[in-house]
Amino acid sequence: MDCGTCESASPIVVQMPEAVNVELTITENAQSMLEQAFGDDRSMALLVGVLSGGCSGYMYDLQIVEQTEIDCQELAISGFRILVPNSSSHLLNGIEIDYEDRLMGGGFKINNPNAKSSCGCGESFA
Amino acid sequence: MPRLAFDKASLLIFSGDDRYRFIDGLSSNKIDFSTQEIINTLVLTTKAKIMAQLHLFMLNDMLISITISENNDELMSYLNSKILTQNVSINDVSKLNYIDLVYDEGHNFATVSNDGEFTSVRVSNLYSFDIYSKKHKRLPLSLDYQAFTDWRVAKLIPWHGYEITSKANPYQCGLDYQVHESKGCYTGQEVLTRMRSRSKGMRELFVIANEEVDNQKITTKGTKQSLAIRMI
Repeated sequence: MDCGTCESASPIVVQMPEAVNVELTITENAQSMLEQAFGDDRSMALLVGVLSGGCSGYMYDLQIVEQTEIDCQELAISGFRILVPNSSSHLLNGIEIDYEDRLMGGGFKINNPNAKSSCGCGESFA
Repeated sequence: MPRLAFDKASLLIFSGDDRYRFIDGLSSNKIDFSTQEIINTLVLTTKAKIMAQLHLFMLNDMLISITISENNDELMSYLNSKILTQNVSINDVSKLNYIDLVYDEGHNFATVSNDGEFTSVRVSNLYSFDIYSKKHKRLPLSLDYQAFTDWRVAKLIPWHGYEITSKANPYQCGLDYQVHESKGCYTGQEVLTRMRSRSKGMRELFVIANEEVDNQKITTKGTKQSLAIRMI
């Protein structure tokens, strides 16, 4: 098999979507939870990302990070640092980050106006 | 062993640290090479319709996919749109290689053999794909597609463009075994799980003598018998 490791390979050109300036909101419930998670240390940031997979094709990915190598735009909302990868910005513009306090199925939730559909558990969208 | 050209397949190499997780999240079978050499899996739409069939194998640390799709451009566009921040890149080396379909009554299930230039990927116990560089002369091919069709009908093998189409889901064309029943969170999973748990919409492939069936219900017409699909 010829795997074309040198000049003969034909890498597939990835068409990256154009980055958009993201606007997002965080509900009071979610802010309270973030305050508990961050404490007084506001050097940390909430990374709001998207991964492939899940029942509907994309999955939300929330992480608390100090910094990241991912090309991100940084937002300051209610004193919190929010990082949004530019490559996912077209999927996340206009989202609302909420927190549902329930014994089952609770936790952070994303309400996304860009989602055409989402799966039952709410973690995945298309 | 009869050998046919199988030029509708493309040969993709997936690189990057996130490649396994990437394919796992987008396809119906579990991507775990610790117990098997070849993984047959399906990329599905959110409605669980078949977008592509991938025969995945490892070769010298490369993750390679023999990929069969009705619309390769659409598939590549779909895969690219899902990469986002993940460390994944895809190389298409189809133009560098021949892909032949070799069918027989083999006995080695799901193995890969490679001598450096010639790679044989036995994706099932009945057929394999041979991959070799276009720098070499193409091996002699059989042109008897009807013989392949008759063999396929007798062995109850669904095929691309006949039973396996973008209008079917795996439970409607005899590809049940490429859906991992306990795997969660891949595209199309909710639809398949619902079908399975409610036993709704499930269909099966069957062989029937030509004189006993309405032509409209046939998916593959053989010389004496054919393949058709019926509700379970």
